[in-house]
Amino acid sequence: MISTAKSGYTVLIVDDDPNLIELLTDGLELLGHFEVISAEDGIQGLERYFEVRPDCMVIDVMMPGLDGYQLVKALRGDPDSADTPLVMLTAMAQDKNRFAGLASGADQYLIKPVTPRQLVEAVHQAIAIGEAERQERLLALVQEVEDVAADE
Amino acid sequence: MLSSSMSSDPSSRLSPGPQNPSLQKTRRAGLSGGGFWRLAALLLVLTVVLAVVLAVSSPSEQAVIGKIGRIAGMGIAAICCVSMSRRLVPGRERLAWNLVALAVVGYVIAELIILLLSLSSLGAPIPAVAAVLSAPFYVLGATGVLLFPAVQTTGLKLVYVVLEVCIVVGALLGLGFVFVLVPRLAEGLSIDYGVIVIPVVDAAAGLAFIVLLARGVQPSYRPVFFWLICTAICFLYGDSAASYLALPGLSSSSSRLPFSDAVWTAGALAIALAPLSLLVRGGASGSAWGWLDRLFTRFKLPERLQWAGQLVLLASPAAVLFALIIYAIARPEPGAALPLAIIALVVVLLIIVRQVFTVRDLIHSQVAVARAQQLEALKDQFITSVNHELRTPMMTMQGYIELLSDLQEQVDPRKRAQMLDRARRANAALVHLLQSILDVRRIDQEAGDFVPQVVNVYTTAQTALTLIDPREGNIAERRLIMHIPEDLAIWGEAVRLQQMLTNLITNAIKYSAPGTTIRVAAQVVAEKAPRLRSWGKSDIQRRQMVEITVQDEGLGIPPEQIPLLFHRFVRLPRDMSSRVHGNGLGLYLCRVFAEALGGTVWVESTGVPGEGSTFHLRLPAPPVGPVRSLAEQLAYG
Repeated sequence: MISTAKSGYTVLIVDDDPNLIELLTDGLELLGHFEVISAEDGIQGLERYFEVRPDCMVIDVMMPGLDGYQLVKALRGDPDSADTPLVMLTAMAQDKNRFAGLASGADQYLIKPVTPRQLVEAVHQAIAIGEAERQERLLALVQEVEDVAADE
Repeated sequence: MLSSSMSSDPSSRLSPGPQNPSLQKTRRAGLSGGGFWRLAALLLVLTVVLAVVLAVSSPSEQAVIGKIGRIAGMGIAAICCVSMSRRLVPGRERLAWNLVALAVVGYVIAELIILLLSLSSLGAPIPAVAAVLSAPFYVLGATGVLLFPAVQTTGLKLVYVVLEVCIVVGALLGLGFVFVLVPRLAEGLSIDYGVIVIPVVDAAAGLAFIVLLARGVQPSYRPVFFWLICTAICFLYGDSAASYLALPGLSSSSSRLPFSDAVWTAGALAIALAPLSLLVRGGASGSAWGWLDRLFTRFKLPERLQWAGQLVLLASPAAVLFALIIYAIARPEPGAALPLAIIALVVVLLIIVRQVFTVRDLIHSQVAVARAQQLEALKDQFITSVNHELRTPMMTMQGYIELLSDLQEQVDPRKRAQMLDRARRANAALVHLLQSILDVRRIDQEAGDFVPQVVNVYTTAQTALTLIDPREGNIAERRLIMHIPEDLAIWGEAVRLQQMLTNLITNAIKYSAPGTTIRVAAQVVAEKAPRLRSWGKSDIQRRQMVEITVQDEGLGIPPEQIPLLFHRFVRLPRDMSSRVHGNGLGLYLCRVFAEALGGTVWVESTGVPGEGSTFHLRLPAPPVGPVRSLAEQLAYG
């Protein structure tokens, strides 16, 4: 029997490949004891986010329409969602992609193939970082808004 | 198994058709390399001996000996041409060799007539008569040479080559007219035009060979053209000398261009070496200097000497001619300007030849660099495509194995079974992908390996539908409309047609949304024979073709990406980021098979989502009449 002791965290997976959603869902549920919701593309990801308010999001980079980077930027741009822990998944192994991913605002950037254990680890770390840095990010955003107001 | 790609070996041009008698003698049983060199050395020795003999004999004897030498040389050439022609199957190449052989035989007959006339009481014929008698040689010879499959397989069209030759010939005639004839006409000279034409034609022929050689003669023919250029240069000198003597109003017998008969004879012998060089087994290297390369490797001389050798060979005729010019200047005689002008022209031509060779080598290396870059880009494409397709099944398999081994009994049996099943499916996808990569080689090698027969389009299309892989898409989710006449058939092979149709319909499903329509139609179209593949057979003027179209209402293809489509492992950037799976081989397979069956495949699309794309597959229809019944007999036994 699966241990029913849930960690209490909800994770939203955004990926266009249904096979991967199945795997990541199973991995996060069985190993990490998270509650898992999924979305099939960027737009649906945004909608589900505001419906569910997950504790962490796992986002695939290569998606049709709104891709991973754009989704992360959208989330970080809105103060309402700016502090959400975000984990990005990609198949591109080049350094510039990694840097771009982290620079766009993700907390963790994983390169496929990723095992379920690695993902669970990354989600935990992202949540941990998120809580610590949330205040900083909020302060930075507030500062920026004040600067803009002062210029006008 | 016969390859469908073109090569310089005539035996590979044979198609797998019924009862071809030449199929038996496809090997070129010619002289070995050593034999060729011995024969070439013998001919050169003969030339030198003849030159010496001619130099010491009296003028009347010279004419006769020169003629005999020329007849002998041309006789050898005729034998070689006929021998070449007999090795080939009916077609353009064989026709070309026949024409050249006919030309050479005609020349021998002409020379014999002239010889007999001059020995008999009637006396030597006037130059105009000689010109008329030799005319067939030039006309047939030039036609034959121009017919040679001289162009390489890079797609250069013979018509462009012929145009170039015409421009060059026209320029030469113009030059000749300006520098040679006009001054003479201004002095009031009446000219027997037949006499002027021959040297000009020699020069034109020489230039034609040079242009063909420069434009890219296929490797096995390069030594031939090289020897033909030597021939033309020798003839040019010899004929100019004879014509100069024959011009009325000029002092004749004392002023005679030296060694004209010897040079002419050497030219006749050079023309014999041309087809001989083809009879050598083990072929020359790609360049016109192939024989020189062999000479250098035989004597183990360094490469720098090789370049020096080429230069010397190209420069020495120029040096000889310059010497002759100086000689002519030192002994000024009335009318010395005419051969002088012609000689100067020849020297200029040699310089142009050198330039042309240099430019050609430059172009070749540029093409090679461009090809290498293209190959790199395709390799990157391939790696990206495979990367994208490999990661997901790999990750799935790895993930489930890890989960199952970590959690073991903690997972209930049903969940365990489900996870194992997903891992198994990922494994199958991986195997499928790797198999398709290996399939690429198989597609290339086996595409042409079949015997054509009548294939019904409607039943093949039905089979193709049943063989669509459900993982790729579900045909039931699309509206399928088929407009195929029940008795419509193509001339080809059933499995290949079925694979092409399966690929095209699967693509239509994959790249369009559920609920949209897919239309498959087929009809007969007539088209003019696009290329004259062989001139020897009687070709049908308008070929019957069957055109099959597969139309979908999906995303379409951006028009600028259409040229990329039919290559290996190419997938459009848009598809790489989506969930649609593919190995990039489907359209490549369609193209290879379509071409192997003698047809084509192409696509029309506006690139606007919703307007979709239409793929066209055009294949030959079965031949009609008695040929068809023979074909059916062969197919059904």
